[in-house]
Amino acid sequence: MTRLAIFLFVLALSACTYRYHNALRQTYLNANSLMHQTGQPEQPFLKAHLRNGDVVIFGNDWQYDSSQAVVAGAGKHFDFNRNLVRDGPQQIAVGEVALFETNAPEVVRDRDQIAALTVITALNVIGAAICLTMPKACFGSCPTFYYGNESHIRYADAEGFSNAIAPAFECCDLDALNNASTMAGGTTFHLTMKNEALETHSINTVQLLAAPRRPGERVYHDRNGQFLRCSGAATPRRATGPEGDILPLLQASDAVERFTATDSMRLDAKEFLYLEFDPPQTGKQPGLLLQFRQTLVTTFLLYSAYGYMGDEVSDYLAEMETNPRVKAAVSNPFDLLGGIRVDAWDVRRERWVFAGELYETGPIARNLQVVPLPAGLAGQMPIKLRLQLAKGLWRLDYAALTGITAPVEPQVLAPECVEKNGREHDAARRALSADDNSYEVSLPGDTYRLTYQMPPGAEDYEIILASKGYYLEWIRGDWLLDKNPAKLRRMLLNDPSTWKSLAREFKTLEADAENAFWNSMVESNKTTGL
Amino acid sequence: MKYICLFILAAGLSACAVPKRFSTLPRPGHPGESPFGARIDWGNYRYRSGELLAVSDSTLWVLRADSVVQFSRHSMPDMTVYIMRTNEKYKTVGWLAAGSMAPTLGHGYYLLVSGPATLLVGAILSNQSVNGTYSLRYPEEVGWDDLYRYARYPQGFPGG
Repeated sequence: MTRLAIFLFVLALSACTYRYHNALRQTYLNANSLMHQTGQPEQPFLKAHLRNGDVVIFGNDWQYDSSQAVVAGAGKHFDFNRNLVRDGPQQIAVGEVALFETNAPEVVRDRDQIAALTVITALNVIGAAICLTMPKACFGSCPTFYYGNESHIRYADAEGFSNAIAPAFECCDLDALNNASTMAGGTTFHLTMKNEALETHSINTVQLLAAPRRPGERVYHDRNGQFLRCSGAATPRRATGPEGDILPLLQASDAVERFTATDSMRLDAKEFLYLEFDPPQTGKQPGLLLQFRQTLVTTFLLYSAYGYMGDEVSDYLAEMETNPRVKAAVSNPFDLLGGIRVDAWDVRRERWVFAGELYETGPIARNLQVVPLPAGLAGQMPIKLRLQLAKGLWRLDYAALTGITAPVEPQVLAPECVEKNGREHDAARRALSADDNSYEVSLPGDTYRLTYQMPPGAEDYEIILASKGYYLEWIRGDWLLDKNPAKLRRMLLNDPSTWKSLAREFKTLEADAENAFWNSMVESNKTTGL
Repeated sequence: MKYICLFILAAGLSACAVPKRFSTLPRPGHPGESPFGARIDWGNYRYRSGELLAVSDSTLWVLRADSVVQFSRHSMPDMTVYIMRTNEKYKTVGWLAAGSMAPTLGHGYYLLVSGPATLLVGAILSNQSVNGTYSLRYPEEVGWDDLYRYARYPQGFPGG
């Protein structure tokens, strides 16, 4: 990037020299030739070079008086050393003049740069207008992690501790990296961590959990942090939602996702999706494998809450640290919206029974988790599942039924080497290695490259990222305009009328907010391990 | 935010000053306004640059910062003759370049991309505006016999 910038600067420097038209400056040895050769007595920009080295520069009202042999007019008289001698009316005898000089104006190039800058400014103003009208759509989210060659936020493999919005909410977040075989990478595994938002990240640990796997095996985690060895993954034979058939959207991990718009009156309005699977191989407990992420609803709510806090954000954050009731109230909206509830159809009891729930905050990286299903389902044909989720809150990319073979305890790996912004940074390595009181603080634009040593004993590992920390959002100036502590209180207490107004507000932003966030992205062509 | 605003201000102010070596050149719309000669560079301009004072049949004189250098016609190296600037509203361009940064402050996350991009383009255009010149290459575009037109003393050294 630096080299490119230098190249562009050099190019710009070389590009700002234009060829001069040699004929635009003319000289005349005497007044007669001046008057006759130019054929234009009122030739502007006349300079009279005197024999003693002085020069008189006339304005465009100069006149030649042939009877007195003088040139007269308003102008400036400079001496040999080009000090200004006189500014005003001038009268020079042509006998003192060694040489007359005329100049024609050249093309003024200002228009090129001004036009280009006007276009750029207009584009920036349009961009700012979009962001100002939808300030809650212009953001990033927590530390983003990449294990492959991709480093564009659209392809982030994980986002860490998205709901840890203050120290009091510091938590450990598990994210399946859904990695391809680690055999190709040799004995090391590289991870890139970025701060791509206007946030301050305080990161306690970034560890890898490595679970050996054999060909055909995968290790997934459930919402409770249990790691389960699984084999096989069968996509649904039928999948329906309120809109009809959604099977094509859930058959592959391809970033083609199933989602709907929010309800215009209630953000917590629920919808149901129905999945049917063939049972897994005999003897295995079935597990629902789901790849998902959130839409922008929770981020909108979070940023709305910050807006309602106005210039008292720090006071509220301090309250969250010291007052358990305030801390608990912050969780209310998340409880109201809920996660992705999974129910299974019990043939014998002829009713839906609760099987588990999935939840992970964040609109960027897709999460891959498993929900263990009742073992008794293995004998059913088909296995029917029902997903209950808030409308417009979740994007589902992939669903499959896998067979759970056994729980597994992965090895915990700390980074062997950490580079911060291209330079080895041992203090960051120490801070990120253990769950202790030392934190690595990253600011927008910071990039870390973490190198892990894979343990001996297995050829291939399933890698799950375990990140712990919290982040502090940078409060944008335009958010302060929304200050409304009373509305914040009602929002945190799940007041129905306040939530109705939030639903209406989000509805006005919903379509454009998604566009504003994702328009700069390109479609994924990344293949995953699924 | 404070540092970004200060940077924008500094960028704008820096664009408002024409480099010293071109400060005596006339503006394109006012070609006769300067009493000085053209600026010439030969070799690396950091070390070989000055104002063209006068040209005779056999000698060329250049005023450097603290001395007058003369070249014989036969030993004159290739050089560039800077005759006038290309821009008049370089201050406007500078402030516009700096001002174009301001809306990016409202870009949120995209500031990380739009800010540097605008800064780079603005710096390039501002640099073009401030440093842009009309020039001729010697000997390809202007011969020895025409060089005198661009000297401070086109009539030759007074008394010389």
